Amino acid sequence: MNYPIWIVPGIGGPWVIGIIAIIHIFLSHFAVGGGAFLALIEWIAYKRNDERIYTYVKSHSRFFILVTTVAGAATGVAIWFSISLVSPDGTGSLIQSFTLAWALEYLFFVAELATAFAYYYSWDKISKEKHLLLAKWYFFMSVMTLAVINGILTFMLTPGKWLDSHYWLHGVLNETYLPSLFIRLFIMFAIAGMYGLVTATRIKDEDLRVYLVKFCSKWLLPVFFLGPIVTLWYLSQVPQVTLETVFTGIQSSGVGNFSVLARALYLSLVLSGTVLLFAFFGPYLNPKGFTFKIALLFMACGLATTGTTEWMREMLRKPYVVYGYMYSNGIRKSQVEKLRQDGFLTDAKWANVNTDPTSSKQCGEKLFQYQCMACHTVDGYRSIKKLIGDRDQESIVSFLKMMDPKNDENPYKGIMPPFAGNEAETKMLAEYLASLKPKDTTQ
Amino acid sequence: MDLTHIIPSYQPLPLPAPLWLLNVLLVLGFYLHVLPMNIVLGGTLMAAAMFLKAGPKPDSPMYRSARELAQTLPVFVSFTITQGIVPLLFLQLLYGPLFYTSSILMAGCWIGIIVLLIVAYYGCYFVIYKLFNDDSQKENGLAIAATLFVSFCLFLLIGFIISSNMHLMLHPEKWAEMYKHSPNGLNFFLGDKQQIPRFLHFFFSSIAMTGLFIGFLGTRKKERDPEQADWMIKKGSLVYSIVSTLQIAIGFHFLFSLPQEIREQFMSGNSLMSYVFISSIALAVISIILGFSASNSGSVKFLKSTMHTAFLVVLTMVISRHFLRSAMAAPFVQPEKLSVEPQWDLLGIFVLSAVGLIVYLVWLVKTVTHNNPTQSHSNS
Ligand code: HEC
Repeated sequence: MNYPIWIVPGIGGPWVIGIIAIIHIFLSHFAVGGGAFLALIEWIAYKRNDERIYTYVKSHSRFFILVTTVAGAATGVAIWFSISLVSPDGTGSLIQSFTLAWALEYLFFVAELATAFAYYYSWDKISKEKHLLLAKWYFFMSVMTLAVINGILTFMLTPGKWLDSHYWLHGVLNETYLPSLFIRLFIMFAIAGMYGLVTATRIKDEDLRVYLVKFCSKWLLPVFFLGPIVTLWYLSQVPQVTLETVFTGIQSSGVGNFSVLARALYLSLVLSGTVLLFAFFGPYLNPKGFTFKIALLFMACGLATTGTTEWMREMLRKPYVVYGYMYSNGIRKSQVEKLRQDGFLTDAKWANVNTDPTSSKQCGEKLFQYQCMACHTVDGYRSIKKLIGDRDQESIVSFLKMMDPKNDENPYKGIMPPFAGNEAETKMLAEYLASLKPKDTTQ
Repeated sequence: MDLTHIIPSYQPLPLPAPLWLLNVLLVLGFYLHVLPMNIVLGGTLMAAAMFLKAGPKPDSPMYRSARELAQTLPVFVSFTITQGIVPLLFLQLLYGPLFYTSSILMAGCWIGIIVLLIVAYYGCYFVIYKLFNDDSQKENGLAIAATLFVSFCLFLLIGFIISSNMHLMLHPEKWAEMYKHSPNGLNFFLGDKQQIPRFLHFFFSSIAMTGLFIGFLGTRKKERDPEQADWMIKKGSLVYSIVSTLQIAIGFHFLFSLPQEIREQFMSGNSLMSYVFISSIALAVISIILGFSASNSGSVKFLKSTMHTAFLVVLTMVISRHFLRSAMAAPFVQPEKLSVEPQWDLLGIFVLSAVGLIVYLVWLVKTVTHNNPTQSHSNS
């Protein structure tokens, strides 16, 4: 209600964040995992004193610099831009609580970048021992950026004791901090292996190629053997209600018996399995036949897996931006009671701009934009027109009444925020939603 | 016109540190962003122009300087982005209600910055990895100039979008109309008469600073290649001084485009804001004189003094800019009214890490330059 709503037709604002985030995660995880990869493989080259491996590391490091310092960094900024456009209140809360943590992450990020450039530009200019040392420092700095940002990311799902204390350390070192850190590290190694395959398959020398392709495929092992265990640990730390939603599913969602969350989870598992089989039968068992094109395909598979996994993580947090504190639509949990009594539009700032207060349909539309568009669009992604279906105004009113914070039977409480408006506003929203149906079926 | 109904409220959370400290970090962060940004913007343009002007003469001092300048660009782009994080963070913290709103109104362009950035950045790398050749006789100077020029145009556009947003956030009276025009974020703001002089002021500053940077690159080869060094120092500082002289005119034009009360505050001579502003002009004049001396003598010492003075000019200008924003934003938001609950422990960690970072960077520079006799140690 505070800010104007940025209306993105079709995909909706959240997917703008989603698309950018998926690309960024794939690139930035490479920045961290790739650091370990470079350090280890340079160490092998050093131990064996093998110039061929050195040549490979050199060319891989150029690729690494080009991907991480340009696209990786730029998409990181893009995430910031997009979250502040789509959910300014949420972004504002995060920034106001963790300004200094972010500033700390920035310091490590500067160190990371400076080391990356120092590493890349000092090939053949400094001793091999020193160069290897730079690789290790790079890895350390990149893990530190992860260690900080992971605190803020996990905070959103499990703010834990912060909710009462508002103390930053409670927010950062929350219940899912550690399991999430481990999962991310494993995924980072896997992604580093995938990128490694892309450059390794281009090597002409067959012996070396086979050796490196096999080497790269092993980077996927941790995520497959330890990943499931850590994932269970992670899920066990997640607030109860979301776990219920995973396993019971929402019978009435009208789209099938699975909850959205369960669908995301299964998709993520299926894709991970595919990647595993792909890795096992491809580069691991048959490194000779693994070509550059297959490596690219494999990478696309990895991207899809990352995408769904991150999507699932986002779904887990629904209907909140900061669990138990602020809903996806920027309304704080503590505000809901008051808004239900006094009305949402009474005190709203931007929701009233350019709105005619006497037109109930216009007010209804604003209510929709401010309370529902954080997850729905009119007729694109998760289209409200489709989801409303044949309901008329009356049944929409009773649907909205069911979205009451006090109603424990509300099957949507794990995925949709309660409706934060008074009686009159409930009717106005219902009127607007009912009017979206094709003309001949109204009233 | 009462605009309070349209200015979003701050989040009901305290500030994590005293306001003065947050302001210092905002200004300092912006300063460290502007310095590399100047080289990116000025460097792409000047390198393009120099490649074009030098023609197919890879041995000429101009061609060689252009080449050397272009080599450094990616690192500067990278640091411009990284350093941008700091001011963006503190701007959101202190001016979020204004900044988020204006960003949403021009969301299309705002997000578009990223695409422009990636293309422009890869343009710089494309020049180094695809168009440069170990044997510079084989290079196509025209293609290099063209690519750099495209990158320059994109960087310029990015600068213009950011500048436009920084103005729009201070003009809430335009917001409602714009939102009506496009709730999809397809707006652009050009409605402020300070905007063009201010933007030109930034733009010319980047040419001037790039001139100095070329001079600085020259100082590092004084022993190895004195002729080239001399050329770079002389031409670089000449560019700085000529452009900066021009800047004084643009600066005054900008000053006179400001609302009268604010202009008077700058020139009153009895407030911090005014002291800083007046000293920035004095410093600018000194740096111009130093720059002309450097260009006459080719002396490393003069060039370095010009450079250090110019750093101070930029710093005082950046501080003045902050005063300007605080004054313009004052009717709409008052960050000084927010409650403060300092996170001293985290602040302590931050300060220690910052010290650690500096030590680390010094070590890093030493490590990479140590075995390499071709580079000097004077990386200040
Ligand atoms: C935090 C995200 C979120 C918000 C905010 C939200 N919804 Fe939903 N909504 C969902 C999800 C997820 C589903 C399930 C969609 C599916 O099954 O594909 C859903 C489903 C629905 C359905 C279909 C229910 C059914 O079973 O037929 C309706 C109707 C609906 N939402 C209306 C609204 C209205 C009205 C608002 C605003 C007051 C709103 N939603 C706000 C996430 C949200």
